[in-house]
Amino acid sequence: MEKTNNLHHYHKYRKKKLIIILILCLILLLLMILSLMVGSTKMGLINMIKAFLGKGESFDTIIIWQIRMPRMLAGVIAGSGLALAGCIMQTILKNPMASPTTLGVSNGAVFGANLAIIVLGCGAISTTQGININLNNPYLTTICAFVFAILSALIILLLARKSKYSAEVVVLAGVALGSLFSAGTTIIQYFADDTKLSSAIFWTFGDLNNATYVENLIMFIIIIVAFVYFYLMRFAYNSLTSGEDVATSLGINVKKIRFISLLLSSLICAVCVAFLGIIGFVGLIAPHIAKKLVGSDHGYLLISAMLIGSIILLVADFLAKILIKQVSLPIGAITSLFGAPLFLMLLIKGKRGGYNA
Amino acid sequence: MLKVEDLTFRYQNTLVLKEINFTIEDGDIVAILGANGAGKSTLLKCLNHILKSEEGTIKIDESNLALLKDKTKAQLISYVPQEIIFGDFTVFDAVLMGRTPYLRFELKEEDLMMTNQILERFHLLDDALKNVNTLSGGQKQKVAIARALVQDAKIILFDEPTSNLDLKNQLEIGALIKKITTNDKITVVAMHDLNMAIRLANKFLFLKNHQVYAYGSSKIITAKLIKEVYDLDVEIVDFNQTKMIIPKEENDDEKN
Repeated sequence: MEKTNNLHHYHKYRKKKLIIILILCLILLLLMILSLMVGSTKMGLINMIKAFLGKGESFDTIIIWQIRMPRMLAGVIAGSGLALAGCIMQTILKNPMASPTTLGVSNGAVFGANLAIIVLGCGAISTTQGININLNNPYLTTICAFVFAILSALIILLLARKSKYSAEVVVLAGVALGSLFSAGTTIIQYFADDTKLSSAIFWTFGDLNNATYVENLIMFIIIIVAFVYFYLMRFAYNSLTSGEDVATSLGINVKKIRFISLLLSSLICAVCVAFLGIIGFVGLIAPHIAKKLVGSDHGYLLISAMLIGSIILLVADFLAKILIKQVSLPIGAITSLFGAPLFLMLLIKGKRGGYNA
Repeated sequence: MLKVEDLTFRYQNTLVLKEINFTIEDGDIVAILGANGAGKSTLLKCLNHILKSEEGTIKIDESNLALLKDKTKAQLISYVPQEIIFGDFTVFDAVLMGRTPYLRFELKEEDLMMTNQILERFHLLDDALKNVNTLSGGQKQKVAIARALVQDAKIILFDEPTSNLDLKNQLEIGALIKKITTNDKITVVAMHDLNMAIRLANKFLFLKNHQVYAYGSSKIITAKLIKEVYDLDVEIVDFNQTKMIIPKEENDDEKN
């Protein structure tokens, strides 16, 4: 009798976690609607719904479907992807400070973009309103950024292979390679003229406006494929939280899972940075908040972290739109501005039980 | 039966274990003993391929460990490490983790029932939904043993199971290890504490110079052997039919 009773408590406890995930879903849904309503042109809920259904004024419909929808989707997709990659990196590298950028991926992307803009001549052609900078070849810039991001990840993975996938080596090599790419970027920028330099710098500001439907779709596919793999491997990630030896003794091939996880996480990060620029702190902070809410069980943690990542990006985007009138700030600045103090707060609060059973 | 034949292990070209040979029968608790750096933990980790050696074979009954899949190995051998680390899991989830080698896509009710049974046996049911990291060292050790037991393996390996515990917990964990080693199981324990080992094990394997120096029942434990293995003068006394090893103080000889 007592046995079934106890299992009943356990089932109830798991249900609680599902409810938390459901609440996060609802919050995200509300933010998605809000994000379609808010922008430089005011739009009420009814007008927004009409425009969404294609029955409103054509101007509203264009704003919703051409501007706000891809931007909102970029926030949801990139937010969830960066959080997912961060979560996996932290587990795989046994390092709470790990994030999607740990392997020097974003530094690689910035170097690639700078190379394209400054050296290969994809630089600016118009700087009309001070911040309205266009690239005359955005595709080559994105491709260059992506190639160097992946290159950076591959170099680290090769080094990791030599060190038998030691977590410490991967983290330190990431730091070293990141600073190598930063140095390369500085040297390229030193020889650039003002317009090229400003468009190169502007590229690094993470901005959701950069995303089109096609880019959103590419990000979505990569993130979904990665998520399916990560979710199937959730029991392995759980066992890795008790150390490599225990994971091995539980039948996990630690080297293999570390290699595939690092590769997929880097791929997510590379595609997000290449399309949107650098959006800091989401990948670091979202998994920490998720752990506070649902604990380390990756069956719940991965989904929660993704939802929180999307929520953070939509809130940041909302703030980016409303903080300064008529100006939409780059979202990367907002996530770092608010993410850093939030992270410090989490650190100071420390480990207080983590979650309520 | 666990049979180790000609096992040699090198760590970055440094020889750690050389031509190790021994056989353990079902129902045995074997203590691996030896001075610091003798390779006790390494030998233990070689037994379930946490460390893979290039030379030698390990056989469980008739199956060669090297030919088994990772999950099958894990269904045969479980491991309790010296340093117990847990993520933010409940005690229930931490023990449930021991079912990993049997899981494919989903948890089954059977896995939950087994976990529940072990928790009950270990008197951990009241703490089942507490965060495992809020438990004391002794309790955490119990959770780690429960996890290894839920793995339902024939062989359990323990690396220094009592070294971080107070005396009461040492005795409790020792008694628990004896209790779980039924006639069809094998327990291998790497240990520092000789007296604790004598209380716990029925076979003793001494390592020296990367090799097996002595292996057998408590009869082989003599002051001479301890001197040879640990370079330490000891006196062995009988206390309630159990051997007790008492180190001689340096000036004992002078007094005599």
